Amino acid sequence: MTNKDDLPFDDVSLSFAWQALQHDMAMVPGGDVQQVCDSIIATNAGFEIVPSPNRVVSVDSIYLDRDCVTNADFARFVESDGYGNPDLWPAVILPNVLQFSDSSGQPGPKYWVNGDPPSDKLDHPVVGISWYEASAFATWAGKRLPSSAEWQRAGTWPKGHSSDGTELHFPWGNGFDPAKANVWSSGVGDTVAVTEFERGRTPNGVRQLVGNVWEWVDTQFEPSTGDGVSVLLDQTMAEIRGGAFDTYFQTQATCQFHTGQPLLFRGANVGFRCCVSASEIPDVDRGVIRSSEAV
Amino acid sequence: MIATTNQVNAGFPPITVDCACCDQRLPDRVEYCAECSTPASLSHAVAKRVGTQSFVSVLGASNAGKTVYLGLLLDILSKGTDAFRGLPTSAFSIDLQEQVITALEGRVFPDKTPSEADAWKWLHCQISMAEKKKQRNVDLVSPDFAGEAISLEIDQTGTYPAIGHVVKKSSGILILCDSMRVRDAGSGEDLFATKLASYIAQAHGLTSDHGNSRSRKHGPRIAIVFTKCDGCPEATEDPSRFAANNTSRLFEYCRRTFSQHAFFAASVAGSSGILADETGRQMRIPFHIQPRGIIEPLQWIVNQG
Repeated sequence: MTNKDDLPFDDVSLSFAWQALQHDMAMVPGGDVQQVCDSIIATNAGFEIVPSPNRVVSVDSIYLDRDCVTNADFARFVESDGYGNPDLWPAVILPNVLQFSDSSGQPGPKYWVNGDPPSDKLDHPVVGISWYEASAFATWAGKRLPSSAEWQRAGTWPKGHSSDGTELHFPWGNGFDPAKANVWSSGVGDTVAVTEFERGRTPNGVRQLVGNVWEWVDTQFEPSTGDGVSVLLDQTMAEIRGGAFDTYFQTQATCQFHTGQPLLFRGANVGFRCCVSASEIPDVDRGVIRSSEAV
Repeated sequence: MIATTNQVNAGFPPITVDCACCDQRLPDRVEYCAECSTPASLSHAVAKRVGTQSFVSVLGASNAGKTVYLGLLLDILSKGTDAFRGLPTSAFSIDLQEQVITALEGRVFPDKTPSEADAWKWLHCQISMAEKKKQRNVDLVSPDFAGEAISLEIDQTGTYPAIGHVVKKSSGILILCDSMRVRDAGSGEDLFATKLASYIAQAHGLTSDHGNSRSRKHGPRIAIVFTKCDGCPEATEDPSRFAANNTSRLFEYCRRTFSQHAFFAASVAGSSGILADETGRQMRIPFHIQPRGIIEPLQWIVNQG
């Protein structure tokens, strides 16, 4: 018998699949991003963070989720026994998966109860999940976490570069506006639904890249240091990007700022979104045409 | 002459005022009080205020995070809502705010506070609170003491008179304890904080076993704040239980001595790491800033009044 997953899509199915994909994900064309490379050096007075020339990194085209993964999205992963499926987790982390439980001891994000998300926050980004849980969800959904550079490209490509050659700080421009991103100065103090702060979206419709929750990306966080200086970390850290509702300085919620959290950190202000490499989607051109025709 | 509030407001020169901290008369044109080194500008600023003045002091061991706490508190207060807002009354208050905010935004912690009393930065701001159709104002005055000076003053009372005067005058006191040192480094933090609590009780004429309930009731409000909780989630989950389990001496002393006391958890960094160089120097740096629990202890103190 043929597995139903092996059957080819017919044109009508493909057209609907493309509509669904373009509804939920936005195309981010490949290109360069300028990664900030502040370096920590030792001085007579102590240590100092000094700016170094930006590093230019090229990325390929991807399709990126328009929104962060919501509680409702993640509930489907929990219901399908994502926590019990060893194929979704690296072998080294399997002993820890049992500890990825909610406040009542059920498998699930830290702040859920009895394996269920808060009913009034179904459309909020899921939080209280470690990097491993984010990665397992992405694998289950047939996607992956974006790299740090891919994430930055999503926020900076649409408006091109400023006249001085630098990237824009925010998806809407260089000037911060608390009405466009949920950070400390917006005064909300908690997560909001993924569809809010619509005015801060990228021109191609990626929402809340900046603010609401930090986003796990698939890049290890390693502060750059000068000769003879080392950074002692308790645990391996992954980068988080974009700032959150409790990010105090707007300079730490730009498209360029990067920081980190331990891979096992399950905070109330870190979520994630997924992506797919454009090259991994078969028949992209054909699909786009079909999709356009259908609309 | 000693100026009355009305005279000060009317700008009658020359203005002579008492030190806001130790109540000694300040001669004209002095910069610091000879008794306690409080800046004269602070005393002038306090004298100009109308309404309740409330000293709140922040104490703790060296490296407990007092400077960062105070500077960030002032910054958060200045950006607060009508429900709870605080505005610095003069430039010297903004000095501390500027020092801390500039450092944190650059992802370093500010330099240690020097031990010399005349180098301490003071904070004076007017806190306004919206309360059922009316506005309540409280003047908050707090110095940024050096931890080493606090330690010396506790061991030998009178070494730093400013500390004694401020503690005596304070209606609310925050005792800062490094949560990671409490959890990981033995009894040192617990013992120091207990010594500090004992010093406060002595300054206010309270004793743990013999103090009657009336004197306890009139003692200062004590907020014990576990700092650096980004690295110690155990303290964040339940500060009171964390205190009972990890600072049992302080917990019991406060229970016996201060009728109004509470435990809090606070943090400034979202995550942090330790830098080290080849000579063995080490320094903690914040990777990003997300304040937690900074304003709550002060709100608690003010709301108890």
